[in-house]
Amino acid sequence: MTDINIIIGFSFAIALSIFNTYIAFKSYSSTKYYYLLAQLLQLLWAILLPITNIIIINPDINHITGIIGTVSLSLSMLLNQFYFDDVTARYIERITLTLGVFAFGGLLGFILSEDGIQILGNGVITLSSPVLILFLVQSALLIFRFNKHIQNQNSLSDHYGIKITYSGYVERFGIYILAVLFLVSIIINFILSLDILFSVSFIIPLGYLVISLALYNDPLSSAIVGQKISAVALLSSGETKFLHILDSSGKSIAQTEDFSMFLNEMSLLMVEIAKSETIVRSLSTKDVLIMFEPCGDNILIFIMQYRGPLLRKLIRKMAKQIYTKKITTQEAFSKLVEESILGIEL
Amino acid sequence: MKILLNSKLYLTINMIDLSDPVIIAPVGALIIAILGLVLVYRSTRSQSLGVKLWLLIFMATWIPWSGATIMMRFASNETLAIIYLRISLISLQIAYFALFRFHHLLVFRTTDRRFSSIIVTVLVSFNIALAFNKNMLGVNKIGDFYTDSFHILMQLSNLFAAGWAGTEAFKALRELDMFSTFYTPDGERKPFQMLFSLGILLLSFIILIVWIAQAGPVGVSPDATLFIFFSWLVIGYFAFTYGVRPLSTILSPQRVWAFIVIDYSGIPIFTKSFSEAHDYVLFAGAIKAANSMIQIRFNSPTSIDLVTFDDRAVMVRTVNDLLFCLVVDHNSAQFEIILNDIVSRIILHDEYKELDFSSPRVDPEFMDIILADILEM
Repeated sequence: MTDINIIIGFSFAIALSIFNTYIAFKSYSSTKYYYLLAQLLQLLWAILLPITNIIIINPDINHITGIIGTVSLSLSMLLNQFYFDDVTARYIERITLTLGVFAFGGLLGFILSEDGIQILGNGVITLSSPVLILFLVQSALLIFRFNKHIQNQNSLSDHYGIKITYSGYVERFGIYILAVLFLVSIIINFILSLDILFSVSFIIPLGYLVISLALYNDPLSSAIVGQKISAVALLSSGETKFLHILDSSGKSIAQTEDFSMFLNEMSLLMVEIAKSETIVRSLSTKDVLIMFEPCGDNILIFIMQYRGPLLRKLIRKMAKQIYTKKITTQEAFSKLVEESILGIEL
Repeated sequence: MKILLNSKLYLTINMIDLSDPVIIAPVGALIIAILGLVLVYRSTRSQSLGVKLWLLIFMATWIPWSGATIMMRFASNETLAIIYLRISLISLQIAYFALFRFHHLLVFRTTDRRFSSIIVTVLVSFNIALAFNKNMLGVNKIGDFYTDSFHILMQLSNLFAAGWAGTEAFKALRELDMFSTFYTPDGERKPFQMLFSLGILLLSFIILIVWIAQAGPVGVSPDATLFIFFSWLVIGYFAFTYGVRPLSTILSPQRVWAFIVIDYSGIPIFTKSFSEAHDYVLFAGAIKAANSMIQIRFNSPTSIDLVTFDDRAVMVRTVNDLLFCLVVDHNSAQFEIILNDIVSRIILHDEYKELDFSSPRVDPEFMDIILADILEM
């Protein structure tokens, strides 16, 4: 039954992986590498498994290619976890990543165990049930993570005042349905012991297609971090040189009238502190986090809500650009901010 | 005893020669284990439950490990042996993970060392997955069961996990000034302690290597109990250095640089500095000023609770317009807990309740009295 179906399924998987790789490559500026590598590994899986199943009949070689294929699929899933962790996570939410890593280690162990991957008489490989269960756990974690990501993107859109198109909303909603279908069909297949390999070969690439399309069409897909940055300012010896407010919700302190005065006083404080030869890196209250980065004689500051990965990297990169490009006008500063935080080419 | 035990158990005990090292070693190990557990519990009684819990889990999980390994050797059939093998391997992995978490909570910043914990997590779950493999169990000529050598991969990944978790925990102990065990307060070496520690470490390494070699290609029945005994010595030593030394009352391996209290008019009423290089009193005053400014300008009850520098973090709590500043190496969950604890103990103190908040400034004496009371100086 399965030969021709598997060929069709995996051709589909290969085509989609190539497409996804292209989208991943085109769409992201600095955090794309995890995602890109994940797609390439998935491509490897989609090429190796049908070969294992159909073309080579030597059980030993089949076993090795089966192991390599399955390991690359699990690694690809882990890299997706990393990608979403870097973009949207707060440090406090690291538990999902730990669980994902735990599932990955278990997958490795079960795959490498002697009965993890079995070769049937006709050369078709089957996976043992712990491997399938862990794949299920990993997919559930990814769906959870992706769900968070979409929620985050929605609130980011509100925050930055970037409108999502109608089709954008449809896509975001469609993703939930597809993600749930993805999970349910694996479970059904697992319970009914249908041809798991066949269904997985369709479903996993389809899941990836949906994710990458959503990331591609999202107006904020090029945003480097998923944290809501309220404002970016450049302070120079006691006064605010440039200030660019990103927050459009109207609730942030960055929009109050006294804010620039507050910044000036903050700047004076910084000058005082600088006399003691130390640099303040960040300052936080219950609801506001201010990050500082020296930029020549000036100080670049970010105002936001939470600490998260990649933020320090981002602020360093911006400080370097401001220093090397010799930004002198407010317009140039605003342009640089929008470019480097939202990824919008102006 | 004969009356109390049923015939089967009695038979089992009779079958075992009590002079057998296979029995003596685990009994000795169990005593050391319980002693270690008590020592650690004693020494960390004032710490936060999270940290204490992981260390206690680490100590406690070695008991099912050694117990199940011994039981595996005496198992009457293969099914039982496999169950014991799984219990023993999985509890060993929990021990590694707990050791790492203990150290992680004690030392690390919340914001770094992602890869360090990822490596330990991968190894631990990898080993747990291997534990479910049936082929892990071997039978020797006499009919004893032992952990077989998929065995060499399994042994190596275990060794690696143990090494990694151990190294990280060692770092924590080093920061806790573990080596004060080896020196007198005047800086003279204590040769006995040094040689004793070195001997234990060396011996356990030798036993470990012998164990791996036996379980490996040769396939001779390895005497796991001997290894267990010596690894227990290491655990006992760990518990001793952590539990008994005077410095073990220190709650965190990070350095505290200063503790400053500023009253509502901005005047420092208590300063304790552990370093003369930096003066943080002025800085604390600046935070106080900034807080007032934020509250007046933005009509907001919010206030600064953390300022980080390149190499320092200033943790701030504001209660009733009093400002408590703790200057430490970097902010960590452990210090958050400690600072909250100090502040709540201060404001619950009788002296504090008698304070007159309507007077222009606070009598600095009260702080000394409270702290002397809290620290039982």
